[in-house]
This record gives sequence, structure tokens and C-alpha cells, in this order.
Amino acid sequence: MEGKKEGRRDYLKTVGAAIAGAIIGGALGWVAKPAAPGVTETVTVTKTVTAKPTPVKGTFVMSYPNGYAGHYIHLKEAFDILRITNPELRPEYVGKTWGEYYEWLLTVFAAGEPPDMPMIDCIWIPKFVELGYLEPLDEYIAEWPDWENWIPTFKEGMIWDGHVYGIWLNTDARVWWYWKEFFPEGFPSTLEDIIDKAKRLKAEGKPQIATWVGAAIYPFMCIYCSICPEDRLKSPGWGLFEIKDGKLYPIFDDEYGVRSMEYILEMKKAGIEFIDIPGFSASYDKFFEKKISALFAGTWMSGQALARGYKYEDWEKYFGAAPWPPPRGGRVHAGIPGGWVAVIPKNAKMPKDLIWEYIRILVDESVVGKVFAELGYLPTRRDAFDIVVEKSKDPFMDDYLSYFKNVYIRPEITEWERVSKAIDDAQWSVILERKKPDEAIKDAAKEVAEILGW
Amino acid sequence: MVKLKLNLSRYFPYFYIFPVYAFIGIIIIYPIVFLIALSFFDVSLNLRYTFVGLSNFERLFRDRKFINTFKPAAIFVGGSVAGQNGFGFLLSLLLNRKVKGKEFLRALFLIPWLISDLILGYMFLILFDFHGAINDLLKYFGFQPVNWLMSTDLAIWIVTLANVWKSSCIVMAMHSSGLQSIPEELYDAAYVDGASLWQRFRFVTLPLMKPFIALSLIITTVATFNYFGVIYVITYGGPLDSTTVPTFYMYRWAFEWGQLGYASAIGVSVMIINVILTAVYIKILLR
Repeated sequence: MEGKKEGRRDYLKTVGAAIAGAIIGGALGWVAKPAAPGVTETVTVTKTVTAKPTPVKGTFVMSYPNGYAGHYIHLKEAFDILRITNPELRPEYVGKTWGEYYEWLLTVFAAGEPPDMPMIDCIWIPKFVELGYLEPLDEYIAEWPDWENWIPTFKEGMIWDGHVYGIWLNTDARVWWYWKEFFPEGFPSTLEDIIDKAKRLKAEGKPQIATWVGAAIYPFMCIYCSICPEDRLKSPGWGLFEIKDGKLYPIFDDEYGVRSMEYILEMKKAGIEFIDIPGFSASYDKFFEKKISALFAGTWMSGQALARGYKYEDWEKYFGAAPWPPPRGGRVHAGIPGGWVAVIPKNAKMPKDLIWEYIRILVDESVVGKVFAELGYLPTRRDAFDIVVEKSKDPFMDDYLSYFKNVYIRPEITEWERVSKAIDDAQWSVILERKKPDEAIKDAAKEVAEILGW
Repeated sequence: MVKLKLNLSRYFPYFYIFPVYAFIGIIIIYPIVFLIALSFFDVSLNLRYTFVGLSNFERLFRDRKFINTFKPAAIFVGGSVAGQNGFGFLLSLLLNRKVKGKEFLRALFLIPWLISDLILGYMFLILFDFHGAINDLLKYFGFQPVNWLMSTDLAIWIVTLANVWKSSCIVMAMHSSGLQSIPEELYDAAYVDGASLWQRFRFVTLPLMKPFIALSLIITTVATFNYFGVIYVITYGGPLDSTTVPTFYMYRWAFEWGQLGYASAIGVSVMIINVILTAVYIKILLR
């Protein structure tokens, strides 16, 4: 327990989270909140309501990925507050599965009929900005003191060509969830130990360890971020590229990239299962049916456990959660966090000021603190962390937050989908033993160079 | 006055058929012309057009990934057309006999066609997953489980099987209507002449079914070449693009990578291939 607190303190230190008394005041009537962590039930969401001189009528359309009900609950919680001052505003919640959501959004944006407030995956922002679909939020941000409370990583991730295009609502850490009965000695703390454990599970005929393969993150970037020089990860190339002639140039095919691929091959030979994109959803069931003993996905596994009826109080009896174990001598990190972003579409039907007001309610630390604590999301603003920790019943929340000691976000480039596919193909070439690790990663780098215009 | 009336009446037929031509023009001709026009532009989803001439096609013919899509396409189209037509024809022959409850069976066999691709895809995912029912069965009989969907050799056959299962019934329906149009007297005459069951099939059924078979081959070939629903759900083109067919590749360029011009060039190529395939079928089967 002490270790968990230590981890939390580390995180808070890292992100500079000792914000005493987040000031949310301002001309629109936002009020100052007590200093975290002394947040009490007296902090109510209704305090955040701003006075609107002219209530807006009509249908306010919000869209979200409906893999898990949490997003809907978050949107609804905030909308109920917005409706206090706009009683004739009707909500329309449009939920789509993750796969179809991206294409649906692109289609409705292209048709000029976007939702008034869509939640957008953080990795889609550059594409939507490039297509000219999003309203810059600079003017709103300039008059919004809360922006200072955002963790720099999640703040910078929303800036494109010097403009802010979204507010990062929630995030996650990529973690292993495992059944304790198959890991009585605890989860392996190094990649070498995971490989040994997989061999033992295979020999004993027990359910195997499994990881997703996709978005270049699973498992390539998790290994790569553990072993490549840290200053490189903090560079504008996100560890994968360097800036050459003002353009990105892939450098991930060096010794660290090759070594990462070699680890993937070792994992495969040890019996670890690799799951492709169509199998992502089904992998939750496999985990909870104990067909696999450990699954590397994300902190949203908490929500998956809740959805299957596992009560918080029983979790520690059955499950454990662990970060990606680095190779011996490597560094622990939060994986490559993702998350969902609130944006204002240029073609939104509702007044943009109203949408902005709604976004502010969505990210008000009292709403975030309340909703995330119940649903297992991680906040992106520093002053909400203590509220979440204070209120959360999730036994792994402290662990999750401790993994944020080192946070790296994935590249924010418009070509990321194609770049990540090239890296995923390299991973599969190695897993399916079609190419040697060095050959696979060098081919991927060559392809990525072409994608980036070299 | 009389002359004017006569002149107008000459044009009346054109007024009558105008709605049909307008409908065809809007629904069929316009999208095709638009697709072809789009293939000469660099255009993303913001719909800003830059004329690039033939460069999308130049790029297409140098794109190894596009060329590689024809191998899985050959298996997917070839396997699906053979399976759907073979199985569909067999079913129609069986149901053309005096079978009790054959109308009910016909309706029953049409159910796979009514199932959405999403549900069908998930059914096959559950069946052929590494932890799925087929492997459970294999393990029960003492065999090693097979990673069907993670094999670059097997995955394409699984999606082909799913497509055959889905669409054989519609071929059955087409062939059934053909079989019912063959006069019973021809079979009686052949029987009286001493023709065996095989000879009646070979010299009566097959020649008279030729136009129906040709039509169903054309329809299933073109439909399968343009289709990727089960691929989308079961494998998403993987592993390692081993189930990426040209239309799915086009879809990814259009809706995932947002390059409508290049995707349109792929679409035009697919359309040309479809026209050629149809012409070949017509030439061979209906000569």
C-alpha cells in the first residue's frame, strides 16, 4: 500500500500536480474549488453551471464510441447540467463501435453534417485538423484559466500548427490484466521473465499470456519505449523519427527497433498469443473465461470487469494489473496512452459558445472526478487526480496512476494510420516468421520513409 | 394550330420515357462518370480537388500492395464463385425433385443470405478463432488446434467459406427458377429413348440451364469481386494483407487514409476488370 502511495506521489511529482486550490473562476461564474486532496462531497457538479442569458432550443447531438457505457454516462452527466440553463435543449447521443466510429465521423464531417460535440480519438485529431473540420479553440482557451491545469503531455497533444483544436477528456495507461491464480508469484517484472513464464505455462498446458498487436503500440512501441534513449522519446520525433530537412525521417530501424522485434520473436516462440484487430473485442471474453491467463490491453479493462459483474471488492482476490515489463535494464512507463477528445466541429449546428460551455462542464474537475472515479477512466487534468483517487473504488487506480511516471504519447501526424500499419505489418512478419526481425523493421522504415515523402 | 399539335405529339414518347432515363442517369451514369472524373484528381475528404491527370493510375501500377491484392482476390472470387455455383446448383437439383416440404426447405436455405455480414462475420470468428469451436472439436478428437485466422495461407479460405455459406442460397434460388422452366416432356422423351439419369442431366438439363448458369456466374463473379463485408469483419484484410482484396484496399484508401482520388483510381480499375470478366463470360458461355 505504501508502495502504491509512493507511486502516486511520484506521478504527482512528475506532472507537477500539487495544485492547491484549482482556480476555475472567471467571468462566466466558475467557482474556486478546495485544494486537492481535501475534496469532499460538497463539491457538486451544479456549481459549475453558468448563467446563459438566452437559453438555446433544439437538438444537441453528441457522439461517442460505445464500446463501454462510460462515455455515454459522462456525456449525459454533463448534459444534465447544461440543460439546467437550457431546459428546452434535447440531447441526442449517437454511439458507434470503435471501428465504425472513425469512418462514420469522416463521412458525416465530409457531408457537412457533423454532431455538435463529437468525442474524437486523440490519434485522429491531426487528420481532422488537416481536413479543416475542427474549430480552433484558441479564443476560448485564452479566457479559460483551467487550461493551466492540464498535464503538459495532454495539452501539447492538442496543439496543431500553433492552435488548440480539442480538449483531451480522458486517458488510459496500457496495462496487463492477469488472473492471480496463474501468477501466484506475481506478474513478471521483466520481459525476459514474461518469456520464461510463457514457456512454463505452455509446458504445463495452462492458459497462455496474450497481447494485442495493433496501432504500432502493441507490443512494438511498448518495448521500444522501454529501451531506446529517453531523450529521443521526448524529441519532436516521438522516438520514432528525427527531423531532417524540416521533415520527419524514420529512425526506428536502428538497434533498438531490431531488438524490439527480436523480443517479439522470442515472445512468439515462447508461446505468447498475439491478437489481431478483429479479435480485440473477443479477447475480453477470452480473458474473463480464462482461456488466456493475462491480456495486455489498457486500463479500460476495469470497465470490462465491471460490465461482466465483477465487483470492485473482489478484484484483488482474482486479478492483478501490471505495466508493460521492460527488458532487463529498461524503463517502466505507462505504455502509450490514448484517450478521447472533445472538439467543436466547424459545421456544428448548435452555437459554438454553447458547445464550448458543454465542453467546460464535461471537463470540470467535479464532473471528471465523479464520473471517472465510478467508471475507471484516468483524468488528463492534474487537479482531478486526487478527486478520482479519493472517490474511486477501483483497487488498481493507484497502480494505474503510478505508471504515468513516464508518459509518452504517440506521434501526432496525419499519416499515422499508414505509418502504424507499416510497423504492424513488420510485427506480423516477425510473428508469422515471414521475415527476420532486422529485415522486417528495415522494410517498415523504408515504407514509412516513402509514406512521409522521402 | 393543327400543325403545332402534330409536332408536339412527336415528342410525347420522349416525355414518357424521360423519367426512366433521368433515373438511370442519376443513379447509374452520374456515379460512374463522377468516379472516373475523381480518379484524375488528388482529393481528400475535405473535397478540395487538384487535377493530377493520370498520375493516380501511374502510382497504382507501381503499387506492389495493390498488385498483391489480386492473389487473395483470385482465391476469394474463384473459390466463392465455384462454391456458390456448385453448391447452389446441387441444392437446386435436390430441391427440384419431389421432396416433401421442399418449399419450406427453400425458404430455410435462404436464411444465410438474410443474415447481416456483421453477424455472419462474428459467427465465423467464433467458429475459427484459435479458442473457437472448430479447434475445440479438433482438440476433442486429439488433433492440434490450428490458428486459422492468423495464417496467411488459411485465412483467405475461411473468408471464402463464409461467403460461400452466405450466398449459395441465392444461386440456388436462381437455378431453381431455371430448372422449373424446363418442360417435363423433354425428360419423359429422353427417358423413353433410354437415357440414363446422367445422360438426361448432361443432354437435357445442362444445355437448357446454360443461360441461367451464365447469368449466375456473371452475377456471383461481379458481386464477389466487389464485396468485402465478411473480410472486413473476420480478418480486416490481415494477417499481413493476405485477405486484402482490391475493393477492401480501395475502401481503406478512401475511408481510412482519406485519399479519394487514389481510391477512385482503384475503383475504376476494378470496374474495368469487372467489365472484362463479364465480356469473357458472355463470349464463352452464351456463344
